[in-house]
Amino acid sequence: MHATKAFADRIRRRVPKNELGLLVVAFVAGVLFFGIVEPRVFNGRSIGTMMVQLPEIGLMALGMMVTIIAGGIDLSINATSNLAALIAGLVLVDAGDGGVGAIGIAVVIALAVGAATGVLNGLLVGYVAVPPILATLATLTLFRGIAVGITKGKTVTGFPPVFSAIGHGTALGIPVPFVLFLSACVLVYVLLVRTPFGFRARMLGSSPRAARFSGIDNRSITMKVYIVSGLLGALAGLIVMSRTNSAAYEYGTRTYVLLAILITVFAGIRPGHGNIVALFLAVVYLQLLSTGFQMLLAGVRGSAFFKDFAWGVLLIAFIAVNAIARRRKHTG
Amino acid sequence: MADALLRVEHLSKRFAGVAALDDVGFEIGRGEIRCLIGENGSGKSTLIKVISGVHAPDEGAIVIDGREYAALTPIEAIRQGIEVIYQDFALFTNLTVAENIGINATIRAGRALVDWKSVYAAAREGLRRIGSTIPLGARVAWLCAADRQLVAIAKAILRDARLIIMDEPTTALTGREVRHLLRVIGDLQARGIAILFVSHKLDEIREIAQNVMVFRNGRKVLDDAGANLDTAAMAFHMTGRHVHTGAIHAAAPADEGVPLLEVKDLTLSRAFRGVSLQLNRHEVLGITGLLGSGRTELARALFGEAPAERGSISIEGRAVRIDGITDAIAQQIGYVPEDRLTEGLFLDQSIDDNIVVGVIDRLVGSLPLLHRKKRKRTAREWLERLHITTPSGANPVGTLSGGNQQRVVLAKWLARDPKILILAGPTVGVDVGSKAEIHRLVRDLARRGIGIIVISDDIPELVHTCDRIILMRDGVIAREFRQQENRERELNAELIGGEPRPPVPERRGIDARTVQEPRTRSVLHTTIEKFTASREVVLLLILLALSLTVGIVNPAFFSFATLFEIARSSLVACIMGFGVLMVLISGGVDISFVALAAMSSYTTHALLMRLGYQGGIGGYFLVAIALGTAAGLSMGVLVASLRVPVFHVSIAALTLWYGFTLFFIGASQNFALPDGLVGYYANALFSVEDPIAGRTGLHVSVLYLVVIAIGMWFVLTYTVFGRGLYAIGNNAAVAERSGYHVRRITLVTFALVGAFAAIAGVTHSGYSRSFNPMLFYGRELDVLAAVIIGGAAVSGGQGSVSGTILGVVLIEAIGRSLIMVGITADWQTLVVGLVLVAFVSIPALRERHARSHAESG
Repeated sequence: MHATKAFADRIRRRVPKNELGLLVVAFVAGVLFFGIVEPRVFNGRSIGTMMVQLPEIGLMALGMMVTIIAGGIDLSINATSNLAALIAGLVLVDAGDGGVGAIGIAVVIALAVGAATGVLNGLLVGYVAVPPILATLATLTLFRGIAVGITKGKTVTGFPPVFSAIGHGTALGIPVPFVLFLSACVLVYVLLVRTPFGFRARMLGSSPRAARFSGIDNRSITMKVYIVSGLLGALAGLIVMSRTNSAAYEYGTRTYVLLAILITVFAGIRPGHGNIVALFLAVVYLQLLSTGFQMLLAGVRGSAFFKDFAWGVLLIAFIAVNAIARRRKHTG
Repeated sequence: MADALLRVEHLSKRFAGVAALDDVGFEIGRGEIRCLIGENGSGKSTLIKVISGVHAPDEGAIVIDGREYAALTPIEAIRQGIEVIYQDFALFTNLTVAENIGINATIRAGRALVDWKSVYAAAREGLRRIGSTIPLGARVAWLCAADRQLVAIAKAILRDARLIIMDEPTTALTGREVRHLLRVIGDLQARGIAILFVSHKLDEIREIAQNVMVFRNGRKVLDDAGANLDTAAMAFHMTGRHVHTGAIHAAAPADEGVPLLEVKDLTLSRAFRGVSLQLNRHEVLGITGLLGSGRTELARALFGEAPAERGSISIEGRAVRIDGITDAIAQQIGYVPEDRLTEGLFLDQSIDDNIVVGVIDRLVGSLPLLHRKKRKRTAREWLERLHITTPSGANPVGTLSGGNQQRVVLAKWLARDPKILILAGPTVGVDVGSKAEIHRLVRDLARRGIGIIVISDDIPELVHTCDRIILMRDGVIAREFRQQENRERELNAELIGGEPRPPVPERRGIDARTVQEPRTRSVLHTTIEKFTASREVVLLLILLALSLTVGIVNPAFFSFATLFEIARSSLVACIMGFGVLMVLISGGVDISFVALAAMSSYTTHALLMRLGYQGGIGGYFLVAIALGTAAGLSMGVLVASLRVPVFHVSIAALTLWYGFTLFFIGASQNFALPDGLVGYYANALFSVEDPIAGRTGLHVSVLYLVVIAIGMWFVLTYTVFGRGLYAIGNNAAVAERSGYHVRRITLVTFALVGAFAAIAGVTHSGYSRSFNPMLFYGRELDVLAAVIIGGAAVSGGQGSVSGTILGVVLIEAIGRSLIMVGITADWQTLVVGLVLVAFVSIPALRERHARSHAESG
């Protein structure tokens, strides 16, 4: 009885409930700080820029989140973005000025590539039972290899002008990338929280063994989870492609992957648990720090890199505060 | 009284106000075998924890050799010769038998180096004393449960144990293994070692106990010589009531003609064979037998978890196939597993979600979206129907008591409206009160028409709840007891196998994880298998094959120039890889090393240039290693004191150190070198004239690699620190208990990660003649991949220096050779990617293959 109780206590200790709270506090602190020392951060133009910049990494973090909640991880998500964009880009260039129809085809192709990469990840993780970190580390190199191979390492450019609407257009005054990101957040929320699939994915992340014994088909859930992250990666790729009017195997290289993981750590996402509001907040928070420090330190040498330093320090602070809070709860 | 080895007086311990131990006192003399029995929740495990120093008692004292302790620490308990053999045996499964048994003396003596000869000698001696012949070089992972237990006993003896506490030592053993264990216990007694044998099985106790004490609800209710007690008396004291020999229910099920479930000739090799049985609606069928008798495997086959190979199953007269869990569920079969915590529940999820998980598809509204109210309603309905007491269904299920947890698992299945419910060990770990209620519930469910199978070795439980009881032995049905003839003692006797027990052929269940018995296989096959079992050999073979193939296509591959080039380009990755390797072995994943390399080398350069340093690389190394070590150490402090995932900290450190360098030190690549470093890039150990490349040399930095590699190999093989890494990676808690300084080892590891990164950073910058703040930017995953290809496992406890070198070199060589056979650089990444996919898939496929063989073969 007491063994079970001790076990229960241990579980309770592992479940900090205050990540969202901490994030909200940090976010408000960040807004106040920049509001006082650098109010220009919150003028219309600056906010518009942030809304254009954050969706790419936000979508990748979203994909990362879905896989982490189901007990996995997707290190290949940036390679997926680039590969999807590249293949779509090649088709688009071939099509010449095909207008909206060609764009539709490009979008479909990019998403199909994203889904296909998800299928491969899903096969490796779900059916072959390769640990997710290894499987996606391998496919990361593979997808990148395909991208390098088919383009000979060159950048693909010259898309029809209409295509730039995805990256540069606005809807009701809001940049299209941000609209896409928000819609993706809502969709992922519905998928994870309001559908039986999301429920099962959460259970799978919580305990694959118990999931199996409860009749959940872990393999097919894993497959679907990676397809979702592949699709989100592809969407991010489309936005990058449209915004930069180019596609290349090396865009964002691997720093995007680590940044996406960093965001999920900030948002307190872990197997079986994840809050979409926390993820959204973490994405916006990192973007705020990035833009804010860049404006604040404008003119200072290497100002673009202060944000990296700040992210690292803050993440460590987050980890430490959560760990200490958890311990206090336990002893107190 | 002076004679007592251990005496406890008026011991009390409360958890959250509930008394787990209530004024308990007893003593154990030298060489005494004392048994402690009691039901689950009677205070047995609390007592063990108090005696071994894990818990401090609230009241009372522990007296060892006449010396009184208000509370013991674990270390003090071990020093006094008190050893506990836990049910999980607390062994390092990734290490050999010899190391598990023999290394303790080295750790305890506080030595830094491991003398393997004395470790083996000690281990041999330990095994000899208990008369065991387990091979010293075998990995514990390959051993069956009985052998693991012997290893744990040998380990305890070598620590000069004077009192060995065995916690339910027979749970995982077959009948024959139990006999051997009892003999070993007799031998220990002859050596003057006292044994406290904790169990809830009555019969094995009668055989060996000099004295028996019975606990109930935290109190000692009986303490008597073993000879004075019989099983019925012990059972009476354990349960606090006279066991009814008649069943509590009377309603014999009406025979309906067509049975609900009919099983004919069901066979799963190595588990059970020729099993035929029937189950009617309204009936509770008990299946009992010792571990290894096939009872659990039979239940799992009926649930499709490990399907039977032969035989037929029909439900309500229809033949059905059950090849997987989903098949069983489609047939409305439910299964409540014995291992509730890992198989039955999602501990960190809410109670509500644990209840509705099986019926989630039904809880959607008009859209295919989950309907919150329906979900809540369903959960609440079951909470009420099964009297699950909780302040809120939103609490994690792990916060419930054992009895309530079991009811949640039951609710999960009942919500699915099952026809057949299989309950494995339904009341294991459940308090007495809940136990009775679960029994009533089982009867109640049967009354409503569900056919129930109860798997248990708790005889009173079976007698109370079942209409019929089937006894299994060695994979076959040995006997069936009808309700009228249910006699507990007879069943007990039959369970143990009757007094004049016929020799039982050696049989082991799948759970026992026996050493793979050699099947009929060609010698060649076995040899190849053994050979390729080592990752290093596989890598070397691939490397050789690759070189030969490429060499044939392009003989220029066989040149010093190529060799030197591969050596030079592998070297920094290797040195950083060693840091990654150490962290992987200890069970973490680090990716911050690239940033540490960039920070330490670039900062050193900035610093030395400002100071006007004109010397050679030595000064650079000195400063950079100091910086790298400090940065690594700071990470080690975070990991060790916060106990947070290494990966999370390392992501933060990666970002932080690149940001630090780029912002505070400088963002531009620096080509200005001090005089002492200008010629460094051409500093060759020796050089040759190459027809194509001209004069090429083997760069001096290869020496660093050689020195570091030998050093690392020595550290990992011959130091307590190195062995501690492997131990921590396998089981950190046990490593701590074994005396490894986990905190210190963590700190040293991360300091070394920083130092290696610094060496790699300075070396690379030195021969590329520039210092770059973004050095190795984005390359962390490449190095990680190479180390993993070299055989290090992300799950910890595995990996070697030679494997790491081979992994890195293989990736480099693939790159080189593709160019040489005319494949352009564009396709290189793809080929490396394919190799990676193959390398991560093959071990996984092989393991699946092995598992399916173990289950079916």
